[in-house]
Amino acid sequence: MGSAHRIVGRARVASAIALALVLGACEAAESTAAGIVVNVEGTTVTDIQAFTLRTQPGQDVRFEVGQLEMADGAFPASHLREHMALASAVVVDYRPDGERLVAFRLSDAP
Amino acid sequence: MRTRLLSTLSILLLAACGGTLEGTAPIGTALPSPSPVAASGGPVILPLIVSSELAKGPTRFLFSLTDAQNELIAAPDVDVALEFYDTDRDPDAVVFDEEADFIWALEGERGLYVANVDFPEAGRWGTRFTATFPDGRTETVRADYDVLEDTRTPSIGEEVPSVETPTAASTGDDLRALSTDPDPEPRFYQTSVDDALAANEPFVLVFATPAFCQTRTCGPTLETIKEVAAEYPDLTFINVEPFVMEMRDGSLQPVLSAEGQLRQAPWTAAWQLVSEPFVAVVDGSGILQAKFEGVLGADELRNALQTL
Repeated sequence: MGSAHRIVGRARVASAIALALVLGACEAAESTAAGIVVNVEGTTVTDIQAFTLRTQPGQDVRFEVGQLEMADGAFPASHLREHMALASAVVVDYRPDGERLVAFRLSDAP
Repeated sequence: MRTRLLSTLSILLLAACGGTLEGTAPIGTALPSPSPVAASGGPVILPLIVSSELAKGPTRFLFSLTDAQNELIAAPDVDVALEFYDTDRDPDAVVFDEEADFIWALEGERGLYVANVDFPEAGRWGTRFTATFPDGRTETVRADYDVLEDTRTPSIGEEVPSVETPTAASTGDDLRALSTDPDPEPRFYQTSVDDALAANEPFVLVFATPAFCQTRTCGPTLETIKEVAAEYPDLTFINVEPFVMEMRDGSLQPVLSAEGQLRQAPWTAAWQLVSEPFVAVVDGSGILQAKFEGVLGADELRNALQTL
């Protein structure tokens, strides 16, 4: 009986550790997408809430705009429309947050 | 036991984190209007509706075309005809049609199309784009979108906001403190908007910042304005940076908000811009005669200046 309890207890601890690892890993996950901008959502020139990127396989993906890094050739969200006008590809660095994709860096595609 | 735990953990990680590859996105969300989703067997041409303010009345309908591989189709030898549908009233009845004009954004390299249209009412509208290629082949696609009752920026025929804008006099003729243009045109920094309005001077106001894009496909608007301005030596041209800037480390740099975002300059807020670059043509009575969002063609601006 005591042995069974110990096994169940270890399994619970292992599950908890596994769950913590999964959540921790997801929080840190950063990804990159490239494509052309097909829609920009915003109410003012500086308040761009989201945009849609058509990626190379022809998939349209919506990104919310998070706190953007501005160094090393990155550009502000307000500049997305100019890229859209020229069908000029952009690179988006983003983090998944639940079902949302949150962009944290925008830059010109090479 | 340990192996099974590791395998399970790996599967959980991949499932939960998506296993993203560059250029793909595992967690898609619904596409906002207007662009259709490219898919296998889908349309061969795809429109990009660039105008951010489609509204009732005279409207500059700015768009581009790509193929399903994101390659630009827009070109001077690809003609595009447009049919407009009032989707709310009858999604299949053409209300009006228009031929689009191709304009270069970067001469000889990249461009897009413009059509000057007049939406009789706000609501849900649709456009069928029919492209005719040099070999005679035609391709067509339709996209639906919302037409607003009014625009945020001043409407054509309205008085424009009077606002003080910085001039060379306020910086001791240091143009680097006024513009991120590496080759600023001194004439563009002599007059403030409020002074031009008070003097009943017609003027062209250009909200543009060449600083924020590293490739040469960006920031051509100010160059187009310079080209046209040279033909109108007596007309007032005013260039303003749309964002709050300051001199730092020897160059003009953005002043970011606490959240690390750009901040609107007071003149940008007064004009309620939704995007930049933005060009306005104002007559001697302070009435907006023309406005151009995004890329504009030199001939478009020349035509607008004929109204002054």
